[in-house]
Amino acid sequence: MSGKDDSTLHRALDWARPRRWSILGEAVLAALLALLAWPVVALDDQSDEVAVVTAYLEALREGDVEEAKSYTGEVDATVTDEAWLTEEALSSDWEIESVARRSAYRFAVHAVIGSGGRTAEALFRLEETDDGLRIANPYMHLLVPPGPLETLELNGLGGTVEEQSGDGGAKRVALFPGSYALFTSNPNFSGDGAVSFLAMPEQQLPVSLLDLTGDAFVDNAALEEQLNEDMAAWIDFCVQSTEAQPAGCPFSAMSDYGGVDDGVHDFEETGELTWAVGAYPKVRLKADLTVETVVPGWVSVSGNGIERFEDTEEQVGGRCKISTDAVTPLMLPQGRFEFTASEGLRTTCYRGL
Amino acid sequence: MTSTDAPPLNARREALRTGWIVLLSLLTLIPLAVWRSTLEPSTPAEVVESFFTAVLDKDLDKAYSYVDASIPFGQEAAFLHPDAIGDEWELLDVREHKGGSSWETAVTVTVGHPDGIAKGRYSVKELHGELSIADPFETVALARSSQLAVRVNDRVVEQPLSHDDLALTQSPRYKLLPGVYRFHGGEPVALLDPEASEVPVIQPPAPEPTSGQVEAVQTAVEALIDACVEYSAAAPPGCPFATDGEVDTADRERLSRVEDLVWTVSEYPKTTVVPGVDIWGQPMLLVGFDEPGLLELSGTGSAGRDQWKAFTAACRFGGEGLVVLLHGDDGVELRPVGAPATDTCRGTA
Repeated sequence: MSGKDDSTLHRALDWARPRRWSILGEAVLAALLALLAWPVVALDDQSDEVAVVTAYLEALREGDVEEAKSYTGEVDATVTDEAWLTEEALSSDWEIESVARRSAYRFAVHAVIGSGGRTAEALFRLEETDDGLRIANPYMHLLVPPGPLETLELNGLGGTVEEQSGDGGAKRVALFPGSYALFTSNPNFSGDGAVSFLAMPEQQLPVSLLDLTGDAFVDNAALEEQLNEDMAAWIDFCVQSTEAQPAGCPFSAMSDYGGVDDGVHDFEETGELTWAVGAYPKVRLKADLTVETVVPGWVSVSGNGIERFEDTEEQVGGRCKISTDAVTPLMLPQGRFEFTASEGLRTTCYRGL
Repeated sequence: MTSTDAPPLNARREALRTGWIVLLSLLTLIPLAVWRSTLEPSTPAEVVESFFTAVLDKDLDKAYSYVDASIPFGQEAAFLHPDAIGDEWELLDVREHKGGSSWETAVTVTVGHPDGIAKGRYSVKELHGELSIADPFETVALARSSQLAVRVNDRVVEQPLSHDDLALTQSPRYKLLPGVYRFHGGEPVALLDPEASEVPVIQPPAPEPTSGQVEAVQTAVEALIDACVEYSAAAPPGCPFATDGEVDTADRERLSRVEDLVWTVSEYPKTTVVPGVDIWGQPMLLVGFDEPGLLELSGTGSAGRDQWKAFTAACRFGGEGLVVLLHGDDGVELRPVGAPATDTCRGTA
């Protein structure tokens, strides 16, 4: 060992004389006591309730549904579709901005989450159960209006919303808090047309999907083009029918008597009918997602038949409205639309050719 | 002696010293805790006084710490903001009422403001030895008008509108802290009754558009008309022109059941803003037409049993169908929630 090494060692050992060790130890001890004392003095009770909500949100951000559900209380699932309460429907594209109790009331915890400059706030209600503190309102309830969006796709997880309430109105979907991108596999909702929203438990009433997405469906030119293209294809399919009332189609020549009404004559019986497109309609989606007619369309019907009242043979020849008001579109994955029309549509023919 | 040979006496002394430090440090916590507890109000009246003092100091978080209720948030909490707390009132008296249940105490407060004094009553609850005020928030409804910006003391907020908000007859409701408020810069109103059975409805002053907003209405109407003429309909939705299906042609023939319609603008109308009511009876500004402009309607119509003729007819702009909503910065928005036009064609020169 060299003399230089010896002196370095001595210097180190000198520094570490018992007194110096004790000063270091005492400093650490004082710091520990300060840490212990701080909560007592400040009574900054970021309490168990806050811890439960924080842990719940963190579990969701990490995609751990099982862990997240361990913080939730009993939730009435009878009126809600819970198919999206899965790991596949979660994203980590959001942040927990704050979780705090804001009043002396223990069982209410405010939380704010954010994503891409937007924020959403919620009040989590907690309840004391036999298993400890649980969140009584862990989900957002999304109202999906009847119509094109019932084939819902959230964060890439698609499915048809099932009605649980049985009242035939808007359907409810339960969602975990977080960020949700809509219809990502639909090319009409990519790029500038992308639609997403932040979900947080609602205060009172379920939240309408339309309120969350604003004009995203109305102001989407690509979507409107697709809607009209698919409607034209549907009408092309419908005019291949030889029936007076093509099944599931938005036009008909079926009279109230069960024969054919071409808008000019009422026929007791007819041979095969020929339908042809006179003008395709132009439609768009209104803010409530019902179909609005911009330019009405019409089809012609022709054939031969026996006039009901005169009992003479007459040519069937009428112009019939395409009844777009009675049409419900459904948006399929990949962006195509399919349509259903009111059942049992009576004649829409109103004039001769 | 080398530095590694410390005598056992020294080690004992150090241990003793450390022990003293631990003991003294722990003892310092006692006065700190006592000091903190003396700062906390200890009677129902003190709790209410501390709450009102915090409100007057515009320290909302401190005020909330005395409240045994969840704190409103979102749209209804738009005026739970320091700027919405008035400066022209003061707390005059806080009085506890004995009797009642052991866990709930009534406390009356008296505040003074420029127009006199006002009294309110609050309930203080005791739970696990802690005192807090039962929900002290006031609810007010601010009736809608064409002016979207609403003012509560110094806080101005623009009421957001979703698609069907104007179709709701109920005025938007807001939560406020107790105090004295001037709504839309009007007379002071004391709100000190959180258990009031009726929600006060604050009526807005008559909205007055700026000259910039009146000009913006002209531009907005022209843009709306351009979108409207795309529709091949007798009454395009939300548009200031329509036919009821019967038109008089240029050669003075009346045709009915018109179809294949094409609307073409010949001359835009000159618009103005007029006071009126929407279909729900709420006072609103409507679009008026100083000069009715000119449209051409072409299509086919029925001249009798299955006789169809092509026609061209002159139409104008009109109706009281468009409500004007005023944004800040001379911005306007039109909403079709008035009485829509039914026929603006027949009788047009």
